[in-house]
Amino acid sequence: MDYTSRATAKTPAHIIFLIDISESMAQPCYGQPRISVVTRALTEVIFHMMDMSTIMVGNQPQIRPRFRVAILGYNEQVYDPYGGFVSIDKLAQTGVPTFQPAGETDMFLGFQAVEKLLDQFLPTVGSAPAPLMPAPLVCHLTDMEYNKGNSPLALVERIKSRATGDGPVLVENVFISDSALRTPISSIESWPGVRSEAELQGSFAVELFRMSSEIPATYLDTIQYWGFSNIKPGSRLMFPGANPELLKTALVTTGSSGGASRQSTYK
Amino acid sequence: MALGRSARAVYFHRKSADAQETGAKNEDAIAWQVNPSGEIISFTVCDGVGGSYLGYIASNYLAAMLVGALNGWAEDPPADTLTAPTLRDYLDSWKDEGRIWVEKQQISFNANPALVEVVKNRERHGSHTVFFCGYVDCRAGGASLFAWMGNVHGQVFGKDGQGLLDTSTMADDRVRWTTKHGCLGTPNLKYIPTDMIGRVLVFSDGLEKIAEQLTGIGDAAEDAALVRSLAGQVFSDDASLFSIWPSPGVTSAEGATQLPIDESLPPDNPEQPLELNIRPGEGQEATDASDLSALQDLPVWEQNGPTKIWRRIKSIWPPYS
Repeated sequence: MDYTSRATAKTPAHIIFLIDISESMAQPCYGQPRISVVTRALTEVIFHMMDMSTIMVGNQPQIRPRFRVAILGYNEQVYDPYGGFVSIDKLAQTGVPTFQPAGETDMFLGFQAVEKLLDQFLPTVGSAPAPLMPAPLVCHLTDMEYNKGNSPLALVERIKSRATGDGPVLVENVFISDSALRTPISSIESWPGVRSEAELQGSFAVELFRMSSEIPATYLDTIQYWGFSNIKPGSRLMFPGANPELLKTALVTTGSSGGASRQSTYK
Repeated sequence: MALGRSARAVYFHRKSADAQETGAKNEDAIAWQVNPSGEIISFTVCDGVGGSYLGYIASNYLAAMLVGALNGWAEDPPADTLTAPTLRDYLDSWKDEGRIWVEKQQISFNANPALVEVVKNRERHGSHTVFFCGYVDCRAGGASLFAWMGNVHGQVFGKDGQGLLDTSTMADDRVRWTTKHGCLGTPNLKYIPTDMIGRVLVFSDGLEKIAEQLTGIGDAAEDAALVRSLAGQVFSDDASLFSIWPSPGVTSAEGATQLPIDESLPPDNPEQPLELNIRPGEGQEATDASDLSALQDLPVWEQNGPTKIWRRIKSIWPPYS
Protein backbone atom coordinates (compact mmCIF):
# COMPACT_ATOMS: atom_id res chain seq x y z
CA MET A 1 0.00 0.00 0.00
CA ASP A 2 2.78 2.42 -0.79
CA TYR A 3 2.28 3.30 -4.45
CA THR A 4 5.55 1.75 -5.54
CA SER A 5 4.30 -0.84 -8.01
CA ARG A 6 5.57 -0.39 -11.51
CA ALA A 7 3.60 -0.40 -14.71
CA THR A 8 4.63 -3.49 -16.63
CA ALA A 9 3.01 -5.65 -19.28
CA LYS A 10 1.99 -8.14 -16.58
CA THR A 11 0.96 -5.48 -14.07
CA PRO A 12 -0.34 -2.59 -16.18
CA ALA A 13 -1.32 0.77 -14.73
CA HIS A 14 -5.04 1.47 -15.16
CA ILE A 15 -5.95 5.06 -15.91
CA ILE A 16 -9.45 6.41 -16.42
CA PHE A 17 -9.84 9.80 -18.08
CA LEU A 18 -13.23 11.24 -17.18
CA ILE A 19 -13.90 14.25 -19.37
CA ASP A 20 -16.58 16.86 -18.91
CA ILE A 21 -18.09 17.32 -22.40
CA SER A 22 -20.95 19.61 -21.45
CA GLU A 23 -21.82 22.67 -23.47
CA SER A 24 -19.55 24.95 -21.43
CA MET A 25 -16.57 23.00 -22.79
CA ALA A 26 -17.21 24.67 -26.15
CA GLN A 27 -16.25 28.04 -24.69
CA PRO A 28 -12.93 29.42 -25.89
CA CYS A 29 -9.67 28.86 -24.08
CA TYR A 30 -6.76 30.75 -25.61
CA GLY A 31 -8.54 30.98 -28.94
CA GLN A 32 -9.73 27.37 -29.10
CA PRO A 33 -12.73 25.56 -27.66
CA ARG A 34 -11.83 24.06 -24.28
CA ILE A 35 -12.63 20.59 -25.56
CA SER A 36 -10.09 20.99 -28.37
CA VAL A 37 -7.44 21.92 -25.85
CA VAL A 38 -8.37 18.83 -23.84
CA THR A 39 -8.23 16.58 -26.88
CA ARG A 40 -4.82 17.90 -27.86
CA ALA A 41 -3.45 17.47 -24.33
CA LEU A 42 -4.93 13.98 -24.15
CA THR A 43 -3.27 13.05 -27.41
CA GLU A 44 0.05 14.19 -25.99
CA VAL A 45 -0.36 12.21 -22.81
CA ILE A 46 -1.28 9.08 -24.76
CA PHE A 47 1.87 9.63 -26.81
CA HIS A 48 3.77 9.98 -23.55
CA MET A 49 2.41 6.65 -22.31
CA MET A 50 3.31 5.04 -25.62
CA ASP A 51 6.82 6.38 -25.21
CA MET A 52 7.06 4.89 -21.73
CA SER A 53 5.80 1.59 -23.06
CA THR A 54 8.07 1.27 -26.09
CA ILE A 55 10.96 -1.13 -25.96
CA MET A 56 13.39 -2.26 -28.62
CA VAL A 57 13.36 -5.93 -29.45
CA GLY A 58 16.26 -6.50 -31.75
CA ASN A 59 16.03 -3.58 -34.12
CA GLN A 60 12.25 -3.36 -33.97
CA PRO A 61 10.34 -1.05 -31.64
CA GLN A 62 7.46 -2.65 -29.81
CA ILE A 63 4.76 -1.13 -27.60
CA ARG A 64 4.23 -3.16 -24.47
CA PRO A 65 0.80 -3.09 -22.80
CA ARG A 66 2.04 -1.27 -19.69
CA PHE A 67 -1.00 1.01 -19.51
CA ARG A 68 -4.69 0.29 -19.84
CA VAL A 69 -6.69 3.40 -20.50
CA ALA A 70 -10.40 4.19 -20.41
CA ILE A 71 -11.68 7.48 -21.81
CA LEU A 72 -15.16 8.49 -20.71
CA GLY A 73 -17.03 11.64 -21.72
CA TYR A 74 -19.98 12.85 -19.70
CA ASN A 75 -22.66 15.52 -19.86
CA GLU A 76 -26.20 14.33 -19.14
CA GLN A 77 -25.10 10.94 -20.38
CA VAL A 78 -21.89 8.98 -20.34
CA TYR A 79 -20.01 8.14 -23.53
CA ASP A 80 -17.55 5.28 -23.51
CA PRO A 81 -16.17 5.05 -27.05
CA TYR A 82 -13.79 2.18 -26.24
CA GLY A 83 -16.21 0.16 -24.15
CA GLY A 84 -13.98 0.20 -21.08
CA PHE A 85 -10.25 -0.18 -20.84
CA VAL A 86 -8.05 -0.47 -23.89
CA SER A 87 -4.36 -1.25 -23.70
CA ILE A 88 -1.90 1.39 -24.82
CA ASP A 89 -0.65 -0.68 -27.75
CA LYS A 90 -4.19 -0.83 -29.13
CA LEU A 91 -4.82 2.83 -28.36
CA ALA A 92 -1.75 3.70 -30.42
CA GLN A 93 -3.63 2.37 -33.42
CA THR A 94 -7.02 3.92 -32.76
CA GLY A 95 -6.07 7.34 -31.37
CA VAL A 96 -7.97 9.60 -29.01
CA PRO A 97 -11.73 9.98 -29.49
CA THR A 98 -13.26 13.37 -30.20
CA PHE A 99 -16.27 14.57 -28.26
CA GLN A 100 -18.79 17.25 -29.22
CA PRO A 101 -19.62 19.49 -26.26
CA ALA A 102 -23.31 19.67 -25.56
CA GLY A 103 -25.85 19.50 -22.77
CA GLU A 104 -25.62 19.94 -19.03
CA THR A 105 -23.05 18.67 -16.54
CA ASP A 106 -23.95 15.66 -14.45
CA MET A 107 -20.68 14.95 -12.69
CA PHE A 108 -22.28 12.34 -10.44
CA LEU A 109 -23.25 10.33 -13.51
CA GLY A 110 -19.68 10.50 -14.75
CA PHE A 111 -18.26 9.14 -11.51
CA GLN A 112 -20.94 6.46 -11.43
CA ALA A 113 -19.54 5.20 -14.74
CA VAL A 114 -16.07 5.27 -13.23
CA GLU A 115 -17.24 3.16 -10.31
CA LYS A 116 -18.80 0.65 -12.69
CA LEU A 117 -15.53 0.37 -14.59
CA LEU A 118 -13.64 -0.19 -11.36
CA ASP A 119 -16.20 -2.77 -10.29
CA GLN A 120 -15.41 -4.78 -13.38
CA PHE A 121 -11.72 -4.48 -12.98
CA LEU A 122 -10.78 -4.41 -9.30
CA PRO A 123 -11.95 -7.92 -8.40
CA THR A 124 -9.44 -9.27 -10.86
CA VAL A 125 -6.52 -7.38 -9.37
CA GLY A 126 -5.98 -9.80 -6.53
CA SER A 127 -5.17 -12.50 -9.00
CA ALA A 128 -2.47 -10.47 -10.73
CA PRO A 129 1.02 -11.86 -10.44
CA ALA A 130 3.43 -10.17 -8.06
CA PRO A 131 4.54 -7.45 -8.07
CA LEU A 132 1.09 -5.97 -7.68
CA MET A 133 -0.58 -3.70 -10.17
CA PRO A 134 -0.25 0.03 -9.59
CA ALA A 135 -3.26 1.63 -7.94
CA PRO A 136 -5.74 2.81 -10.61
CA LEU A 137 -5.81 6.54 -11.30
CA VAL A 138 -8.95 8.46 -12.20
CA CYS A 139 -8.12 11.71 -13.98
CA HIS A 140 -11.13 14.01 -14.11
CA LEU A 141 -11.07 17.02 -16.43
CA THR A 142 -13.70 19.67 -15.95
CA ASP A 143 -14.43 23.36 -16.15
CA MET A 144 -15.81 22.76 -12.70
CA GLU A 145 -19.45 23.59 -12.38
CA TYR A 146 -21.95 20.76 -12.40
CA ASN A 147 -25.51 21.86 -12.86
CA LYS A 148 -27.32 18.58 -12.83
CA GLY A 149 -27.46 15.57 -10.53
CA ASN A 150 -26.23 15.10 -6.99
CA SER A 151 -22.92 16.08 -5.53
CA PRO A 152 -20.40 13.38 -6.47
CA LEU A 153 -18.43 13.81 -3.24
CA ALA A 154 -19.72 10.76 -1.35
CA LEU A 155 -19.45 8.63 -4.47
CA VAL A 156 -15.86 9.72 -5.02
CA GLU A 157 -15.05 8.88 -1.42
CA ARG A 158 -16.38 5.39 -2.06
CA ILE A 159 -14.25 5.13 -5.19
CA LYS A 160 -11.20 6.19 -3.21
CA SER A 161 -11.89 3.49 -0.65
CA ARG A 162 -11.29 0.82 -3.30
CA ALA A 163 -7.72 -0.41 -3.51
CA THR A 164 -5.19 -2.72 -5.03
CA GLY A 165 -2.24 -4.00 -3.03
CA ASP A 166 -0.36 -0.93 -4.21
CA GLY A 167 -2.77 1.49 -2.56
CA PRO A 168 -6.25 3.05 -2.77
CA VAL A 169 -7.61 4.34 -6.07
CA LEU A 170 -6.29 7.83 -6.78
CA VAL A 171 -8.55 10.62 -7.96
CA GLU A 172 -7.00 13.56 -9.76
CA ASN A 173 -8.88 16.68 -10.80
CA VAL A 174 -7.74 18.99 -13.55
CA PHE A 175 -9.77 22.19 -13.59
CA ILE A 176 -9.99 24.14 -16.81
CA SER A 177 -10.61 27.46 -15.18
CA ASP A 178 -8.57 30.45 -14.16
CA SER A 179 -10.85 31.49 -11.32
CA ALA A 180 -10.43 28.63 -8.87
CA LEU A 181 -7.15 29.65 -7.28
CA ARG A 182 -7.03 32.66 -4.99
CA THR A 183 -3.46 33.30 -6.09
CA PRO A 184 -3.05 32.89 -9.82
CA ILE A 185 -0.16 30.74 -11.02
CA SER A 186 2.83 32.83 -12.06
CA SER A 187 4.74 29.89 -13.51
CA ILE A 188 4.37 26.12 -13.69
CA GLU A 189 7.83 25.68 -12.17
CA SER A 190 7.17 27.75 -9.06
CA TRP A 191 3.62 26.63 -8.27
CA PRO A 192 3.58 24.78 -4.92
CA GLY A 193 0.32 22.92 -5.49
CA VAL A 194 -2.95 23.06 -3.58
CA ARG A 195 -2.72 22.01 0.06
CA SER A 196 -5.77 23.59 1.65
CA GLU A 197 -9.27 24.73 0.83
CA ALA A 198 -8.27 28.24 1.85
CA GLU A 199 -6.21 28.50 -1.33
CA LEU A 200 -9.34 28.13 -3.43
CA GLN A 201 -12.33 30.27 -4.17
CA GLY A 202 -15.82 29.07 -4.97
CA SER A 203 -17.72 26.09 -3.63
CA PHE A 204 -17.08 23.95 -6.73
CA ALA A 205 -13.34 24.39 -6.40
CA VAL A 206 -13.53 23.37 -2.75
CA GLU A 207 -15.59 20.31 -3.70
CA LEU A 208 -12.99 19.31 -6.27
CA PHE A 209 -10.32 19.71 -3.61
CA ARG A 210 -12.20 17.36 -1.30
CA MET A 211 -12.53 14.83 -4.09
CA SER A 212 -8.82 14.92 -4.93
CA SER A 213 -6.40 12.41 -3.42
CA GLU A 214 -3.23 13.56 -1.75
CA ILE A 215 -0.21 13.12 -4.00
CA PRO A 216 1.57 9.93 -2.88
CA ALA A 217 5.11 10.61 -1.74
CA THR A 218 6.40 8.21 -4.35
CA TYR A 219 4.74 10.22 -7.15
CA LEU A 220 6.05 13.55 -5.99
CA ASP A 221 9.45 13.27 -7.69
CA THR A 222 7.85 12.32 -10.95
CA ILE A 223 5.36 15.17 -10.87
CA GLN A 224 8.21 17.54 -10.10
CA TYR A 225 10.19 16.06 -12.95
CA TRP A 226 7.41 16.68 -15.43
CA GLY A 227 7.15 20.37 -14.75
CA PHE A 228 5.57 21.18 -11.40
CA SER A 229 9.06 21.31 -9.98
CA ASN A 230 8.17 23.16 -6.79
CA ILE A 231 5.14 21.12 -5.81
CA LYS A 232 5.09 20.46 -2.07
CA PRO A 233 4.42 17.26 -0.14
CA GLY A 234 0.82 17.16 1.06
CA SER A 235 -0.53 18.77 -2.10
CA ARG A 236 -3.59 17.28 -3.67
CA LEU A 237 -3.83 15.66 -7.08
CA MET A 238 -5.55 18.84 -8.23
CA PHE A 239 -4.03 20.77 -11.06
CA PRO A 240 -4.96 23.84 -13.04
CA GLY A 241 -5.50 23.43 -16.77
CA ALA A 242 -6.38 27.00 -17.53
CA ASN A 243 -4.08 27.16 -20.56
CA PRO A 244 -2.81 24.54 -22.99
CA GLU A 245 0.64 24.28 -21.39
CA LEU A 246 -0.75 23.85 -17.90
CA LEU A 247 -3.23 21.29 -19.11
CA LYS A 248 -0.56 19.28 -20.87
CA THR A 249 1.67 19.34 -17.80
CA ALA A 250 -1.21 18.36 -15.55
CA LEU A 251 -2.13 15.42 -17.75
CA VAL A 252 1.39 14.17 -18.14
CA THR A 253 1.45 13.69 -14.39
CA THR A 254 -0.88 10.76 -14.93
CA GLY A 255 2.23 8.96 -16.14
CA SER A 256 3.33 8.93 -12.50
CA SER A 257 1.05 5.95 -12.18
CA GLY A 258 3.36 2.99 -12.26
CA GLY A 259 6.50 5.04 -11.87
CA ALA A 260 7.62 4.45 -15.42
CA SER A 261 8.09 8.09 -16.31
CA ARG A 262 11.13 8.46 -14.14
CA GLN A 263 13.30 7.36 -16.96
CA SER A 264 12.38 9.08 -20.12
CA THR A 265 13.66 11.64 -22.55
CA TYR A 266 10.21 12.83 -23.48
CA LYS A 267 9.49 16.19 -21.99
CA MET B 1 54.93 -7.59 -0.73
CA ALA B 2 52.45 -7.93 2.03
CA LEU B 3 49.08 -6.56 1.09
CA GLY B 4 47.55 -6.73 4.53
CA ARG B 5 44.17 -6.47 2.89
CA SER B 6 41.51 -8.55 1.32
CA ALA B 7 38.21 -7.92 -0.37
CA ARG B 8 35.22 -9.89 -1.43
CA ALA B 9 32.54 -8.94 -3.90
CA VAL B 10 29.13 -10.18 -4.95
CA TYR B 11 27.24 -9.29 -8.06
CA PHE B 12 23.82 -9.92 -9.49
CA HIS B 13 22.60 -9.12 -12.98
CA ARG B 14 19.20 -10.00 -14.35
CA LYS B 15 16.79 -8.80 -17.01
CA SER B 16 13.30 -7.62 -16.16
CA ALA B 17 10.49 -10.11 -16.66
CA ASP B 18 9.30 -8.04 -19.61
CA ALA B 19 12.72 -8.08 -21.27
CA GLN B 20 13.02 -11.82 -20.71
CA GLU B 21 9.65 -12.39 -22.30
CA THR B 22 10.23 -10.20 -25.33
CA GLY B 23 13.93 -10.76 -25.84
CA ALA B 24 14.69 -7.08 -25.30
CA LYS B 25 18.17 -6.29 -24.10
CA ASN B 26 19.19 -5.79 -20.50
CA GLU B 27 19.68 -2.04 -20.19
CA ASP B 28 21.78 -2.35 -17.05
CA ALA B 29 25.46 -2.97 -17.44
CA ILE B 30 27.90 -3.96 -14.74
CA ALA B 31 31.64 -4.16 -15.13
CA TRP B 32 34.65 -4.60 -12.91
CA GLN B 33 38.35 -5.02 -13.28
CA VAL B 34 41.07 -5.98 -10.84
CA ASN B 35 44.56 -4.61 -11.41
CA PRO B 36 47.36 -7.13 -12.03
CA SER B 37 48.63 -7.01 -8.46
CA GLY B 38 45.17 -7.58 -7.06
CA GLU B 39 45.20 -4.49 -4.89
CA ILE B 40 42.67 -2.39 -6.69
CA ILE B 41 39.22 -3.25 -7.95
CA SER B 42 37.40 -0.87 -10.28
CA PHE B 43 33.69 -1.30 -10.82
CA THR B 44 30.69 0.33 -12.37
CA VAL B 45 26.96 -0.21 -12.51
CA CYS B 46 25.24 1.69 -15.33
CA ASP B 47 21.47 1.85 -15.63
CA GLY B 48 20.51 2.63 -19.21
CA VAL B 49 17.58 5.01 -19.36
CA GLY B 50 14.65 2.96 -20.56
CA GLY B 51 12.91 5.82 -22.30
CA SER B 52 16.02 6.88 -24.17
CA TYR B 53 17.18 5.66 -27.54
CA LEU B 54 18.76 2.21 -27.15
CA GLY B 55 19.68 2.81 -23.51
CA TYR B 56 21.69 -0.40 -23.41
CA ILE B 57 24.28 1.14 -25.72
CA ALA B 58 24.99 4.06 -23.38
CA SER B 59 25.12 1.77 -20.34
CA ASN B 60 27.39 -0.87 -21.85
CA TYR B 61 29.67 1.60 -23.55
CA LEU B 62 30.04 3.83 -20.51
CA ALA B 63 30.57 0.86 -18.18
CA ALA B 64 33.48 -0.30 -20.30
CA MET B 65 34.97 3.17 -20.63
CA LEU B 66 34.62 3.98 -16.95
CA VAL B 67 36.11 0.79 -15.61
CA GLY B 68 39.07 1.00 -17.94
CA ALA B 69 39.66 4.62 -16.99
CA LEU B 70 39.17 4.06 -13.27
CA ASN B 71 41.75 1.34 -13.21
CA GLY B 72 44.17 3.66 -14.98
CA TRP B 73 43.44 6.54 -12.63
CA ALA B 74 44.00 4.32 -9.62
CA GLU B 75 47.25 2.83 -10.81
CA ASP B 76 48.67 5.87 -12.52
CA PRO B 77 46.88 8.89 -11.08
CA PRO B 78 46.54 12.00 -13.22
CA ALA B 79 48.95 14.83 -12.35
CA ASP B 80 46.06 16.77 -10.85
CA THR B 81 43.69 15.03 -8.50
CA LEU B 82 40.57 13.99 -10.31
CA THR B 83 37.71 16.36 -9.55
CA ALA B 84 34.08 16.44 -10.59
CA PRO B 85 34.78 18.97 -13.39
CA THR B 86 37.73 16.97 -14.74
CA LEU B 87 35.70 13.77 -14.58
CA ARG B 88 33.02 15.59 -16.50
CA ASP B 89 35.59 16.49 -19.15
CA TYR B 90 36.50 12.82 -19.53
CA LEU B 91 32.86 11.82 -19.73
CA ASP B 92 32.11 14.51 -22.30
CA SER B 93 35.06 13.39 -24.41
CA TRP B 94 33.59 9.90 -24.73
CA LYS B 95 30.27 10.93 -26.21
CA ASP B 96 31.44 10.99 -29.83
CA GLU B 97 32.49 7.35 -29.79
CA GLY B 98 29.26 6.50 -28.02
CA ARG B 99 27.29 8.28 -30.70
CA ILE B 100 29.07 6.28 -33.40
CA TRP B 101 27.91 3.07 -31.76
CA VAL B 102 24.38 4.37 -31.61
CA GLU B 103 24.45 5.40 -35.26
CA LYS B 104 25.53 1.92 -36.27
CA GLN B 105 22.19 0.52 -35.18
CA GLN B 106 19.62 0.23 -37.95
CA ILE B 107 16.08 0.45 -36.67
CA SER B 108 13.29 -1.03 -38.71
CA PHE B 109 9.86 0.52 -38.35
CA ASN B 110 6.47 -0.95 -38.68
CA ALA B 111 3.64 1.07 -40.17
CA ASN B 112 2.44 2.73 -36.99
CA PRO B 113 3.28 6.44 -37.42
CA ALA B 114 2.92 7.15 -33.71
CA LEU B 115 5.53 4.52 -32.95
CA VAL B 116 7.84 5.96 -35.57
CA GLU B 117 7.45 9.33 -33.87
CA VAL B 118 8.29 7.84 -30.48
CA VAL B 119 11.49 6.30 -31.81
CA LYS B 120 12.51 9.37 -33.83
CA ASN B 121 11.93 11.51 -30.77
CA ARG B 122 14.20 9.27 -28.74
CA GLU B 123 16.81 9.21 -31.47
CA ARG B 124 17.01 13.00 -31.38
CA HIS B 125 17.98 12.85 -27.71
CA GLY B 126 20.45 9.96 -27.97
CA SER B 127 21.17 7.04 -25.68
CA HIS B 128 21.23 7.82 -21.94
CA THR B 129 22.52 6.18 -18.80
CA VAL B 130 23.01 6.92 -15.13
CA PHE B 131 25.89 5.31 -13.26
CA PHE B 132 27.65 4.65 -9.99
CA CYS B 133 31.30 3.66 -10.25
CA GLY B 134 34.56 3.73 -8.41
CA TYR B 135 37.69 1.94 -7.41
CA VAL B 136 38.63 0.45 -4.08
CA ASP B 137 42.34 0.78 -3.48
CA CYS B 138 43.43 -1.81 -0.94
CA ARG B 139 47.05 -0.76 -0.85
CA ALA B 140 48.35 0.41 2.54
CA GLY B 141 47.09 3.94 3.12
CA GLY B 142 45.08 3.81 -0.10
CA ALA B 143 42.14 6.04 -0.83
CA SER B 144 39.14 4.84 -2.80
CA LEU B 145 37.23 6.87 -5.33
CA PHE B 146 33.49 6.89 -6.01
CA ALA B 147 31.61 8.78 -8.70
CA TRP B 148 27.99 8.87 -9.76
CA MET B 149 25.47 10.65 -11.92
CA GLY B 150 21.71 10.74 -11.76
CA ASN B 151 19.12 8.73 -9.96
CA VAL B 152 21.20 5.80 -8.72
CA HIS B 153 21.40 3.65 -5.62
CA GLY B 154 24.92 3.62 -4.27
CA GLN B 155 26.43 3.90 -0.84
CA VAL B 156 29.75 3.45 0.89
CA PHE B 157 29.31 2.24 4.43
CA GLY B 158 31.84 2.90 7.16
CA LYS B 159 32.99 0.21 9.55
CA ASP B 160 30.13 1.21 11.85
CA GLY B 161 27.58 0.75 9.07
CA GLN B 162 26.95 4.46 8.62
CA GLY B 163 26.63 5.77 5.06
CA LEU B 164 29.53 7.97 4.00
CA LEU B 165 27.96 9.41 0.84
CA ASP B 166 25.28 12.06 0.63
CA THR B 167 22.52 10.17 -1.15
CA SER B 168 20.51 13.34 -1.72
CA THR B 169 22.84 13.84 -4.69
CA MET B 170 21.49 10.62 -6.20
CA ALA B 171 17.90 11.66 -6.74
CA ASP B 172 17.89 13.95 -9.74
CA ASP B 173 16.33 12.30 -12.78
CA ARG B 174 17.61 15.04 -15.05
CA VAL B 175 21.26 14.26 -14.39
CA ARG B 176 22.70 11.59 -16.68
CA TRP B 177 25.28 10.80 -19.36
CA THR B 178 24.16 10.80 -22.96
CA THR B 179 25.69 9.96 -26.31
CA LYS B 180 24.20 13.18 -27.63
CA HIS B 181 25.44 15.74 -25.12
CA GLY B 182 27.87 13.94 -22.85
CA CYS B 183 26.98 14.95 -19.29
CA LEU B 184 23.62 16.47 -18.47
CA GLY B 185 24.55 17.91 -15.11
CA THR B 186 27.79 17.41 -13.23
CA PRO B 187 28.98 14.09 -11.86
CA ASN B 188 29.53 13.70 -8.13
CA LEU B 189 32.85 12.44 -6.91
CA LYS B 190 34.28 11.54 -3.53
CA TYR B 191 37.54 10.10 -2.19
CA ILE B 192 37.38 8.04 0.99
CA PRO B 193 40.33 6.44 2.80
CA THR B 194 39.90 2.71 2.26
CA ASP B 195 40.57 2.07 5.94
CA MET B 196 37.24 3.70 6.71
CA ILE B 197 35.23 1.51 4.37
CA GLY B 198 33.22 -1.46 5.54
CA ARG B 199 31.21 -2.04 2.41
CA VAL B 200 30.43 -0.58 -1.00
CA LEU B 201 26.95 -1.24 -2.34
CA VAL B 202 25.40 -0.27 -5.64
CA PHE B 203 22.23 -1.56 -7.22
CA SER B 204 19.84 -0.57 -9.98
CA ASP B 205 16.13 0.28 -9.94
CA GLY B 206 15.06 -3.35 -10.33
CA LEU B 207 16.14 -3.99 -6.73
CA GLU B 208 14.67 -0.79 -5.31
CA LYS B 209 11.94 -2.68 -3.48
CA ILE B 210 14.44 -4.60 -1.37
CA ALA B 211 16.70 -1.63 -0.78
CA GLU B 212 16.23 -1.83 2.98
CA GLN B 213 17.18 -5.49 3.03
CA LEU B 214 20.22 -4.86 0.88
CA THR B 215 21.53 -2.02 2.97
CA GLY B 216 20.89 -3.81 6.26
CA ILE B 217 23.23 -6.70 5.57
CA GLY B 218 25.94 -7.29 8.16
CA ASP B 219 28.62 -9.28 6.39
CA ALA B 220 29.76 -10.70 3.08
CA ALA B 221 28.37 -14.17 3.73
CA GLU B 222 24.92 -12.77 4.48
CA ASP B 223 25.25 -10.65 1.36
CA ALA B 224 26.00 -13.72 -0.74
CA ALA B 225 23.06 -15.60 0.75
CA LEU B 226 20.65 -12.78 -0.03
CA VAL B 227 21.92 -12.46 -3.56
CA ARG B 228 21.54 -16.21 -4.04
CA SER B 229 17.93 -15.93 -2.92
CA LEU B 230 17.28 -13.43 -5.69
CA ALA B 231 18.03 -15.98 -8.37
CA GLY B 232 14.50 -17.28 -8.68
CA GLN B 233 12.70 -13.97 -8.42
CA VAL B 234 10.91 -11.92 -11.05
CA PHE B 235 11.81 -8.26 -11.49
CA SER B 236 9.73 -5.47 -12.99
CA ASP B 237 12.89 -3.66 -14.08
CA ASP B 238 16.37 -4.82 -15.00
CA ALA B 239 18.14 -5.64 -11.75
CA SER B 240 21.84 -5.33 -11.03
CA LEU B 241 23.90 -5.29 -7.90
CA PHE B 242 27.55 -4.98 -7.04
CA SER B 243 28.68 -5.23 -3.45
CA ILE B 244 32.27 -5.07 -2.21
CA TRP B 245 33.56 -5.86 1.25
CA PRO B 246 37.11 -4.61 1.42
CA SER B 247 37.87 -6.32 4.74
CA PRO B 248 35.94 -9.53 5.09
CA GLY B 249 38.41 -11.01 7.55
CA VAL B 250 38.40 -14.49 6.10
CA THR B 251 41.35 -16.69 5.57
CA SER B 252 42.48 -17.88 2.22
CA ALA B 253 41.33 -21.41 2.94
CA GLU B 254 37.87 -20.31 4.01
CA GLY B 255 37.60 -18.18 0.96
CA ALA B 256 38.54 -21.02 -1.29
CA THR B 257 36.02 -23.40 0.16
CA GLN B 258 33.15 -21.13 1.02
CA LEU B 259 33.17 -18.72 -1.85
CA PRO B 260 34.89 -20.38 -4.75
CA ILE B 261 35.28 -18.72 -8.07
CA ASP B 262 32.88 -20.85 -10.02
CA GLU B 263 34.30 -21.07 -13.49
CA SER B 264 31.95 -23.86 -14.36
CA LEU B 265 28.92 -21.59 -14.17
CA PRO B 266 26.95 -22.72 -17.17
CA PRO B 267 26.18 -20.18 -19.88
CA ASP B 268 22.57 -21.32 -19.99
CA ASN B 269 22.18 -20.31 -16.36
CA PRO B 270 23.89 -17.00 -16.71
CA GLU B 271 22.34 -14.96 -14.02
CA GLN B 272 23.05 -17.17 -11.09
CA PRO B 273 24.67 -14.90 -8.54
CA LEU B 274 28.38 -15.19 -8.44
CA GLU B 275 30.70 -14.42 -5.57
CA LEU B 276 34.19 -13.35 -6.24
CA ASN B 277 37.19 -13.75 -4.03
CA ILE B 278 39.01 -10.66 -4.95
CA ARG B 279 41.87 -11.25 -2.58
CA PRO B 280 41.38 -14.07 -0.14
CA GLY B 281 43.68 -14.02 2.83
CA GLU B 282 45.34 -11.11 4.49
CA GLY B 283 49.03 -10.60 4.04
CA GLN B 284 49.29 -12.78 0.99
CA GLU B 285 52.22 -12.15 -1.28
CA ALA B 286 51.47 -10.12 -4.34
CA THR B 287 53.40 -12.57 -6.44
CA ASP B 288 50.83 -15.21 -5.57
CA ALA B 289 48.31 -13.94 -8.07
CA SER B 290 46.71 -17.18 -9.15
CA ASP B 291 43.32 -16.25 -7.74
CA LEU B 292 43.49 -12.90 -9.43
CA SER B 293 44.26 -14.42 -12.79
CA ALA B 294 41.26 -16.63 -12.39
CA LEU B 295 39.17 -13.67 -11.45
CA GLN B 296 40.20 -11.71 -14.46
CA ASP B 297 39.35 -14.60 -16.69
CA LEU B 298 35.84 -14.82 -15.35
CA PRO B 299 33.27 -14.87 -18.05
CA VAL B 300 30.32 -12.55 -17.76
CA TRP B 301 27.13 -13.90 -19.17
CA GLU B 302 24.03 -12.22 -20.31
CA GLN B 303 20.87 -14.15 -20.84
CA ASN B 304 20.22 -14.77 -24.51
CA GLY B 305 23.43 -13.03 -25.34
CA PRO B 306 26.92 -14.16 -26.18
CA THR B 307 29.52 -14.90 -23.56
CA LYS B 308 31.67 -11.93 -22.81
CA ILE B 309 35.18 -12.42 -21.55
CA TRP B 310 36.40 -10.04 -18.97
CA ARG B 311 40.12 -10.46 -19.52
CA ARG B 312 40.51 -7.18 -21.31
CA ILE B 313 37.90 -4.66 -20.45
CA LYS B 314 37.59 -3.41 -24.00
CA SER B 315 36.61 -6.84 -25.15
CA ILE B 316 33.13 -6.46 -23.73
CA TRP B 317 32.49 -3.67 -26.16
CA PRO B 318 30.55 -3.81 -28.39
CA PRO B 319 28.29 -6.08 -26.38
CA TYR B 320 26.31 -7.47 -29.26
CA SER B 321 28.69 -7.49 -32.19
